[in-house]
Amino acid sequence: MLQGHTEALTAEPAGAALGELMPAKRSDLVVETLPDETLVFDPRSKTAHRLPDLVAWVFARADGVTQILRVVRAMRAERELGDDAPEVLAEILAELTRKGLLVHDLGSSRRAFMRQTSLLAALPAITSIVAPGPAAAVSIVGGISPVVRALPECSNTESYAAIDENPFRDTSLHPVSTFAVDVDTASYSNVRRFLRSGQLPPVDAVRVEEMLNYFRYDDPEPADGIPLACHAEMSECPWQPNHRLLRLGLQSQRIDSLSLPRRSLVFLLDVSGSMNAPDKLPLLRAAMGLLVETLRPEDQIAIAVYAGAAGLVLPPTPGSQAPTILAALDELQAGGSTNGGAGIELAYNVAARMARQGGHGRVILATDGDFNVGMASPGELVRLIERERQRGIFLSVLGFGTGNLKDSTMEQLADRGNGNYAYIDSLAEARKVLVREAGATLHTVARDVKIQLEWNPHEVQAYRLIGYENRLLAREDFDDDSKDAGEIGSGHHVTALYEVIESGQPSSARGASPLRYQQTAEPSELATSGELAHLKLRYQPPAGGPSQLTTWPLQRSNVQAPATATSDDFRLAAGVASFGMLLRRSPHLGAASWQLAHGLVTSTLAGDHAGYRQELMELIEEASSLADQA
Amino acid sequence: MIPQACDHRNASSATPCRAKPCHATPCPNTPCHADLHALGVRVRLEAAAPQWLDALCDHVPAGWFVRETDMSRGPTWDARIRWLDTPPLGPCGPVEASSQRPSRLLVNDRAVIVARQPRDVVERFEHELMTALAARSRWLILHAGVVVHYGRALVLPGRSFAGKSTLVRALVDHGATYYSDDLAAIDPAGRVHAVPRPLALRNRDSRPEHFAPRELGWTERCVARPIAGFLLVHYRPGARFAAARLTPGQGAMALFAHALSAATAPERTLRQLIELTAKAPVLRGERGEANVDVERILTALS
Repeated sequence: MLQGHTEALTAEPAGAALGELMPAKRSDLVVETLPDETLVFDPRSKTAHRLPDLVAWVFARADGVTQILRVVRAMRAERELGDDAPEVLAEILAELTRKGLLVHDLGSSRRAFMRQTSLLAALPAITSIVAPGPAAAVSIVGGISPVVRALPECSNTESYAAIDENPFRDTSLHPVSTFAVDVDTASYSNVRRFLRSGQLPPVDAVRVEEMLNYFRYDDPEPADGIPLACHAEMSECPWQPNHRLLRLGLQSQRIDSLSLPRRSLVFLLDVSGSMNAPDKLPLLRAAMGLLVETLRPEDQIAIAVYAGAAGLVLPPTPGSQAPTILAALDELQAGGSTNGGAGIELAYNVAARMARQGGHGRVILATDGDFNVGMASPGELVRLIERERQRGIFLSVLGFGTGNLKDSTMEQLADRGNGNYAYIDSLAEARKVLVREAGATLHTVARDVKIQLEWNPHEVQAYRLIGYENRLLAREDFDDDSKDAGEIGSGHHVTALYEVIESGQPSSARGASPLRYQQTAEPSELATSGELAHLKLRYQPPAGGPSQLTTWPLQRSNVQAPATATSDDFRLAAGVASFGMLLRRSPHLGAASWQLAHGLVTSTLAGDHAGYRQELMELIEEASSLADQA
Repeated sequence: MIPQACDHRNASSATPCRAKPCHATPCPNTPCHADLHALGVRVRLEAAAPQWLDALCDHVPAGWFVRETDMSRGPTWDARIRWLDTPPLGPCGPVEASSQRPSRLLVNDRAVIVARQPRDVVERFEHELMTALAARSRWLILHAGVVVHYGRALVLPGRSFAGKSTLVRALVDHGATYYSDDLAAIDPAGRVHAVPRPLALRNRDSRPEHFAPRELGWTERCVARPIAGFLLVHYRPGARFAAARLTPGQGAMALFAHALSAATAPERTLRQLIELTAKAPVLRGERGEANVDVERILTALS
C-alpha cells in the first residue's frame, strides 16, 4: 500500500493543483479577527479555535474563488516565504480541514495538493477548546451521580472491556488470592487524554492497576542474582479508617542500558488512512525517532507496515545506521484501508530471522485500533501470537490517537504476546515508554510472574484486591507453569493494593451467610503467631524453564506503619487508587473524595523527580472540576 | 441552614424565613418565594416551606434580594427556580416517610438536580443558580477569585483545587480588598462587581474553613471596579512567581475555559472575552507559596 500511495502522489504532482481554487471556509462559523490572530467559533462542534498569524492569513483567503497559485505568490511576496510556500500552504489547509473549518468539497487535484504535506512542518499550531455541553440534570438519588459526559459527537468507535470490581472476600471461605502481575500503563495515559480533552473517561477505561503501575516508587532493588524483590507496608486505609490498606511492591532488577542484551525489534506499523492525524502517524514517527537515538550498534531494528498491503520498509538494520532508519521513517505515509495481508506474519518471520542471529526478538505493533493484519479472525490472530510467544518472540502494543482505540483488544494481544501495552498520547509519553523506561518496556527479566497470598483468617476477616480484575488466576494455576501470566522488564515496578478488614472490626462489606456444616477447628500455632498472610511469588527465567518460587510470611509487626508515618510510596499508591476508584464510581469509595486523593498525592511531591506526580495532581483537579459540572 | 430531621431538641430551629416576603403564617409548610436581582437578571426562588427557602437563600449574597416585587404586570422574572418534593415539615423538622419522592430543583421547568437528600440539593444550588444567571445575563461570569488593589480588580481564574482561595487570602493579607472567592461577575462596561460569599480555605486535613467577607475587608461600600488584569497561575512547590503576557486571542481562549456562559452562550462569551482581553492584560505562569510570591504578583499586575 505504501508504494501505491506514493504512486498516487507522483501521478498528480502538486504543480497541477496550483491552478485549483482555494477551498472555502464554512459560512456558519463565528469569526473574530484580531491583530495577528483570529478566533473562530464553530457552533456545530461547540469549539473555539485560535488561528495564529500565518494560519489566520491563509484562512482569510479561503474563499473558494481565489486560485491557489495566487495565494502561493502572495505568500512569497507578503509573508516572505520561499520555495516551501506551496508545502506550507498545503500544511495549513490540511490543518484547517482537519479542524473542520473548510467546506468539504475538495477536488481530487486539490486533495493531492494538500496531501503533499509532510505533517511535521514546524508551523504554529491551531489551539482549540471545546465549550462544555449544556448541563444535564444531576441525579444524586443513589448517592453517586450517574451522569457521565458523552464522548464527542464525532464518530467514535472506541471500545473497552467491562470491568466488575473485585468484591470483599471472606477469608474463612476464600483464604487464597492469586493473580498475574500486570505492567501495562496504557490506562493512565488514556485517562489523561480524556481529562485533558475536557471529558471524564468511560468507567471501563479506568484500570486501577495500570494507573498504579504508571508511577515510579522508591522500593529498593533486589540483591545480587535475584531478579525480583518484594516489599510490603500496611496502615490505615485513607478512605475507610476502620479498614487497613496493604501495599505490595514488586521491584525488578534494573540493568544498565549498556549492559542489556542485544535488542532485535520489528515494528509493525499501521499506516491505514485512519492514521492520518497529527496524534497518530506523525507522533509515531517522532516517537520512533526518539528510540533510534538510543539504539546501540549491536541492536537491530526492522520496520514493516500494513494498510492496503503489507511490506517491509526497512530490513533488519543495525543501530549504527541511524540515518538509514530515519530516512525509512521519513518515507512513511498514511493512506488506504487496513487490510494487511500478511502483515503480522511478515513481522514475526523477520523477528525470528533476527532472533536466530542472537538476542530476543520482539514485535511492536503500533496502531490506532485497526487489527485487520491478515488473520481471518481475532481468534486466529491470538493463536498466532501465542504460538510465536512459545518460540520466544514477544509482542508489545503501542496505542495511538482517539476515536478508534480498541483498548480491550490491544491489552489482550499484549497480554497473550508476553509484552506490554502502552498508550502514546504525546511525545513526552513516547519518551517515557521508549527511552526513559526502554529497559522495562523492551527487555524482560522474569516471565509468567504470579503472586499468591494466603490470608490468615485469625487476623483478617475479609480482603479486597484493588484492580487486576482481568488478571485473576485460579488457586491451582499458581503452581502450573503452563498457565500464562505477566512479564516483568528491567527496572519495572508492580504495585498491588489490598483493602483489608481485620478480625474483630465492624465490617460494612457484604458477606455470605454462615455455613451450616463447616467445623470450626482450633487455630493452629502459626495462625496465632501474628502473621497476616503468607506471600508467594513465582516466575520463570526470561528464556523459559522451570519456575522459581519465593515466599515471605507477612508479620504484622514487620509491615504495619502508623497512619502518621506511612511512606511516600504508600500515600502515592493510596492517592492513585482513590483517584481511580472515583473515576470508576466504585461501590467501595467509602470517604474517598477528590480532595483526599489530591491531598495524598500532594504529600509525596518531594519525591517527584520527573514531574509525574505534579501532573497527577492537575488531572485530579481536572476530574474534580468535570465531575462538578457533570 | 438545612432543616433537621424531626427531633424535639431542635424545636427552636423553626425560625421565620428572612427572605420572605410572601409568607406570614407560622405554618411550616406554606409555599413561599424570594426574588433576586443579580447580574441584570431577575430570579424567583420558590420552595414548599420557609425553612427550605431559607436553606437556599443562605447561598445567595445578601445584596441580591429584592424586598418588593411589582406583580401588577404579571411575572417579571427571567428565571424561575423551584424546589419541589421536599419532605413535609412537622412542628420540629422534616417528617421522614419511606414513600417520599426524591426532591427536584427546576430551572424554568427543567430539572437540574434530583436528589434523595435535601442537603445534596442545597450543596449544588449555588452552582445551578450561577449557571442560570450566566445563561441569561449580559454580564460575564468567570470561575475566578477577585481582589481589588489600589482601585482596580485583580482577577484570578482557576479550577477547584488550583489554589485560588489561598492566593486570594494572601493578597488580602497584603492589603488588597476581598471581592470574591470563586466567581468574578463582570458587567457589560468591563467592571468587576463583588460576589461577597465566604472565602473557603482548606486546612491541613483538607477540610474547608470559611471566612466571612467582612473579616477580609469587604463592605457594602465596595463598588464595581475596572480590571487591572487576569492572572492564570499554576502552583508548583518551590517555584518562584513567573508569568508571561498572552496575546488577546490567547487570553480569550484561556479565559473561555473558565466562563460559566461558555456552555450556554459561547459566541457572546467569546466576544466579551475578546473585548476584555483587548483592554486588560492576561498573564499565565506559575507560582510558589502564595505568601512568598504575593508581592511579585501585585507588581506584575499593577
